[in-house]
Amino acid sequence: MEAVIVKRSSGGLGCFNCANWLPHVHYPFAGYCTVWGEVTFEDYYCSKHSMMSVDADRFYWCASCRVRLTREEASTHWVQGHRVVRGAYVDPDVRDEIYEG
Amino acid sequence: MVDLSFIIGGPQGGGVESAGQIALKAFVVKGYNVLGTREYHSNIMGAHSYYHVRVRDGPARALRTPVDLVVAIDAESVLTHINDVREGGYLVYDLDSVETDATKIASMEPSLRSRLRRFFESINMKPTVGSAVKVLEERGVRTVGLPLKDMLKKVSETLGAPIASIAKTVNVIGLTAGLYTLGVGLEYIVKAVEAQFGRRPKILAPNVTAARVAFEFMEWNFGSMKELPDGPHRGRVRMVASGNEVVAMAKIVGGLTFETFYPITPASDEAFYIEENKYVELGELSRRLGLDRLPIVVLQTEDEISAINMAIGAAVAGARAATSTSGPGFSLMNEAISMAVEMEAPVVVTLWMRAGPSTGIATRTGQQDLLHAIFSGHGDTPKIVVASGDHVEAFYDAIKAFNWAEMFQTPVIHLLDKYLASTITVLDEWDLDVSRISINRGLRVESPPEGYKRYEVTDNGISPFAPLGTTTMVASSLEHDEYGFASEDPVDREAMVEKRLRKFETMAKSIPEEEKLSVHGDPDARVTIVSFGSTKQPIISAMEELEREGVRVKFLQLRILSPFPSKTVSEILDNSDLIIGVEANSMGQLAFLVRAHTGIEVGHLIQKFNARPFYDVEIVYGVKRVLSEGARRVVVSGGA
Ligand SMILES: [Zn+2]
Ligand SMILES: [Zn+2]
Repeated sequence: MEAVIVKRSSGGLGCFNCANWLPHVHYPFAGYCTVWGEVTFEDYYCSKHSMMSVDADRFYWCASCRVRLTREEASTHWVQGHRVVRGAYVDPDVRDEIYEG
Repeated sequence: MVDLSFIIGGPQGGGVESAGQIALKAFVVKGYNVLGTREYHSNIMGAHSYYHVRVRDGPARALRTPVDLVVAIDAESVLTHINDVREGGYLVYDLDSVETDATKIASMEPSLRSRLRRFFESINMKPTVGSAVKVLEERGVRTVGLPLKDMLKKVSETLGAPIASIAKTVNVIGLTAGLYTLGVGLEYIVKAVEAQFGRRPKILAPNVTAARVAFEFMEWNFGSMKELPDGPHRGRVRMVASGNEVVAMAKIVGGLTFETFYPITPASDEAFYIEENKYVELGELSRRLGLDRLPIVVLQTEDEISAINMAIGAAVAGARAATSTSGPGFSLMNEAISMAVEMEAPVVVTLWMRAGPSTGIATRTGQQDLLHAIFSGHGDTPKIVVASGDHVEAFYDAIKAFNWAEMFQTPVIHLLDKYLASTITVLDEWDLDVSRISINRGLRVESPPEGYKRYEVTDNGISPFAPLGTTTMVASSLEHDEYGFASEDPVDREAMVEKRLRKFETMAKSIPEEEKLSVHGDPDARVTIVSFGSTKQPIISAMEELEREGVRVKFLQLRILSPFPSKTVSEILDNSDLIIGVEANSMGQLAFLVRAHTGIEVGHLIQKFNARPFYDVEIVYGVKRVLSEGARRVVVSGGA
């Protein structure tokens, strides 16, 4: 791949509004890029950037409300300016941090 | 004298657990005594949770607020703990969160949101993190804003690799900055991080780097650190363990062979620990069996009814058997408790109390199941109920519970609570000394003679116990004759009821008085605190403080609640001018028992039922209110 990750957002584009990026469930300034397969930051940018939008019939995640949404719900949150993304990133070792009940 | 308290707050599941444990370990490495507990939400991942820690050079017996430091990993933590930092203390927070408005924090409890909104309205400020920081600064709190995102980036760049665990790394950054303010040097933090993640290199490296990056940030901005001197235990090998773990260890060394459970907070962790450490070296027996170790059977059943019935079955068949649960599960076990009494089954029920009624607040503490335990089971159901005051007592009591169950062929309910379950303390080897306790399996016959009577009527009510299957015998829930065969004959019935009652008297007589209760403090003091369970150490800590102020108090700690040590309790209370109960319930359940057994009124109660543990300062406050104004009931409410 000739594309690279640039460590600053560019022209209003960045991981924060990239459809390939899943912000961390608790710390949404960092997240997981499904293209590069690694943790990046909201203000990183790469040439694989794909603008986030709510159109496909799938589940979404609202990082502002920390809730999973259907497409209709996601559209409502989206127009209210919430941070709607395709999903949230959960650390692989999250089980260490939670307790069974 | 070193006496530090701090809180590390953040979203549940967001790394606070690791951070809390690292913090405890750093202070243990530094040579201090520590006590730390976790407060977390029962069902919302991302809801606010926090680790609350006390560090002392003397014994760390209790938590308290206000604290010297709040590390607030997220906006919600800053706002939630706005009243918890003392003047001159520190707040460490994320600089990027200053704009965050309480009304926009999805995970915040609506009631807290309203309280914050009203508070900030009253001082004409917006309910934001920035406002909270300003308020705290005006109160004399020193604030440290961290550019958390940039620091995390720096960790990744320094490492030359992406971060493996965002949550842990973010927390180590915040924690390191916090520990700097308390004077804990980088080497101790790194040692603690290694102790926490040592076996997982992918997680270890970024977290060691995170500690370095955060420490350098602090030194760059605030100069070189004022080092806290090492504590009195520096260089010693010590153990940190939670109440759940200590009880699990005790059961293993106490000869447990069969444990059942149905998952429930705060009991499950105990069973999980046994499961993880279930292989027991067999020693002598190994040669005969051709095995060097055997596992304890740990069985997750389909529900609590099954859990206790299986444990009863195992107990009757001769296994050292236990089940572990909390209030809601124990409700389901009620019928079987009754059966265990009827069958004289030596089963142990470890009951970790939490905040009821019903599912109530599943992950928070309380002492509301005392009467539930005492009166569990229908019919006349004499049984043993033992309540442990702290980790060390819990260890020995868990072993004794098995001994008593088998010596008296009775269900034993070991009463603990969520606070002890999730509180981590530091222990020395001699605190958990197996040689101090022996295993007593009671009057057992492995090869029962011809005509063996399982329920033989004896003077002390105890019949020789042969495990089910060693001869033809019957054990059922029905009233029976001496052989165990069902009988509705009035003479048989009376004989069996009397036998079980005599057995109860035998329990009362055989268990030494010093194991039933303890008196702490000046035995001649005219003011007596009466309590049970996990309030023990907070009360002792409060007494130390009261004594410094010239207030003399003694503390009657009830450890065996059934059979109730009526005579000794009467003597002690008759010799008191003022009796103050301390209970984490609203009904005064222990006061009720004391009155029922002695006719003595516990005239004053210090209570806490907001589902958070007692702080020592709250007991000091309560005792003073009772002494100065004769308050009948003081309700204390610390904790977020
Ligand atoms: Zn990208
Ligand atoms: Zn939303």
